[in-house]
Amino acid sequence: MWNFIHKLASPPHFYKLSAKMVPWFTIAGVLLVLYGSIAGLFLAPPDYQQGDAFRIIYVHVPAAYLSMMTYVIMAISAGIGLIWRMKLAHAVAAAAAPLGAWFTFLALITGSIWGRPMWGTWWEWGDPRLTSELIMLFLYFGYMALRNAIDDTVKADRASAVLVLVGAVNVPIIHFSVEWWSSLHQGPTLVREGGPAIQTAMLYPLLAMIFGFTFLFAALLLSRVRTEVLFRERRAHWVRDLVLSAEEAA
Amino acid sequence: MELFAMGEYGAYVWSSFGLTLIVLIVCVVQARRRHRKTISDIRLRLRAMETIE
Amino acid sequence: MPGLGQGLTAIIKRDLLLAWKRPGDVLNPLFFFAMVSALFPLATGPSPEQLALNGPGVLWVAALLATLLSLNSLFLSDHEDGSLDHLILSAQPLTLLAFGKTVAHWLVAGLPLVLVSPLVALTFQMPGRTVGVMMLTLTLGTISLSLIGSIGAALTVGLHRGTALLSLLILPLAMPVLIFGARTVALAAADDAVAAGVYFLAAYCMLALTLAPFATAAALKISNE
Repeated sequence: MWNFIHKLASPPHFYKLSAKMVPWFTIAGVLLVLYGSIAGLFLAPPDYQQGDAFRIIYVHVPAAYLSMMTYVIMAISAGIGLIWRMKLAHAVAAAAAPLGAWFTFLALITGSIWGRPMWGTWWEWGDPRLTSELIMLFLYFGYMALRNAIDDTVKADRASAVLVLVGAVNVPIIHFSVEWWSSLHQGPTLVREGGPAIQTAMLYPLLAMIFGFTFLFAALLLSRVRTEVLFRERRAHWVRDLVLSAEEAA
Repeated sequence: MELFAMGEYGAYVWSSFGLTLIVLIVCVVQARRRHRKTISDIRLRLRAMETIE
Repeated sequence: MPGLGQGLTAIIKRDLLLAWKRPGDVLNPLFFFAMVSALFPLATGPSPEQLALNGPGVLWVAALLATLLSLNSLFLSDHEDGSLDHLILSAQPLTLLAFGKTVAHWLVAGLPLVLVSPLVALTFQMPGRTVGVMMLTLTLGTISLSLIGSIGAALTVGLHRGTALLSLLILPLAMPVLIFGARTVALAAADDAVAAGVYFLAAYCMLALTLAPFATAAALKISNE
């Protein structure tokens, strides 16, 4: 087992292994998202209170969940990179950041679109969950800005790693904000005592979307890490051989 | 067509899904472009170094 | 080898002495605070009701901006003349020294702000009891900001366009302080209970006190390699 992990940490091995994983993750993701979208949009019954507007949940929840999961992945990778000085871990954190920012943006926008008919407002400045998700977006921007500002890759890795870890405090705040403070945003639907508070016809498409998005995210992340690895190892022999060989397409 | 109306919430639901789709596509396109550019940059540099030798 | 307590007081004394020789370090943020506060009534009109309503928020934003301005110089002069290297290599733990510098920074930038704030608050028609709450929240808030800010200052020391980047890094972490600080003062103005807000600010301050110095020390080592 340790041999496998040890091998994984080696950039050329990671590059080869991830090449095989990306297509599978993509297919799984596309299939799940297709099922989830069709079932969620057309098969699930309309909500008692919200009518058809509730269907936005099928994109909003995956986006919001991923915006937090990405940050957690970044924080863990940053921690591993700092403690064990593993270059690949830093590459993962760097590759994940733009994805996390996009998902956070999506979560905020779809949430806003959903909020307009439901709460009567595009935005609510006083709301703790909206505010902490917005803070999350700024944390991503700050991370990318700091990385950009430092030329030396190793220094940029380590400085941004400290930043990610400091900002990690925000993640539990986002999740628990709806329980700790009064909020327009509804409380937890899935991860709560007594099990999910949603009927199965609505639940299954939602789970499919969550898993599907996660697979797509994994595929995207792995491809971005591959690019990152190529760039960081550009002077290595294995990269030279790879790039010059005709087989390397996209 | 009534399916697509989504009660009176059609605009909201479809714009959300549409935006999500666009963002996903943008991510994929961005990732691929970046990958291709990285490879071609490395290739260029290697060729340049070969001509120097 | 001098003890930890001596190391701490030594660095605080040193930074205070340096600030004493450069009164601009204290005065500039104060003037900035006063001027930014003045901008709002100039822009939105002097109606007393509006001023009373906006006062807590305006004062807090001005305090936040003034603090951000003052943070850039936290490590800058040490970085420029090389004493930062000495601090990092010193026998005293860097965490302690970073904490000491942050304490000095608050004494030079945060405390004067708190002391001057009643003068500005009066121009916003703030009633007496509210001024007291405002000073309390500003004290807790500026301490948190100095601590969080020291992390950002350590990460960006010596970087091109460091101040803008510093603000960008700090703002997400400073937002909760601003929200609860301003809201609590607004509650006090409306004669509502302020305990919850004060507790939150105190808790955030405690969190910053216990965690920030370590992060700052780590960031200093990384930035200075």
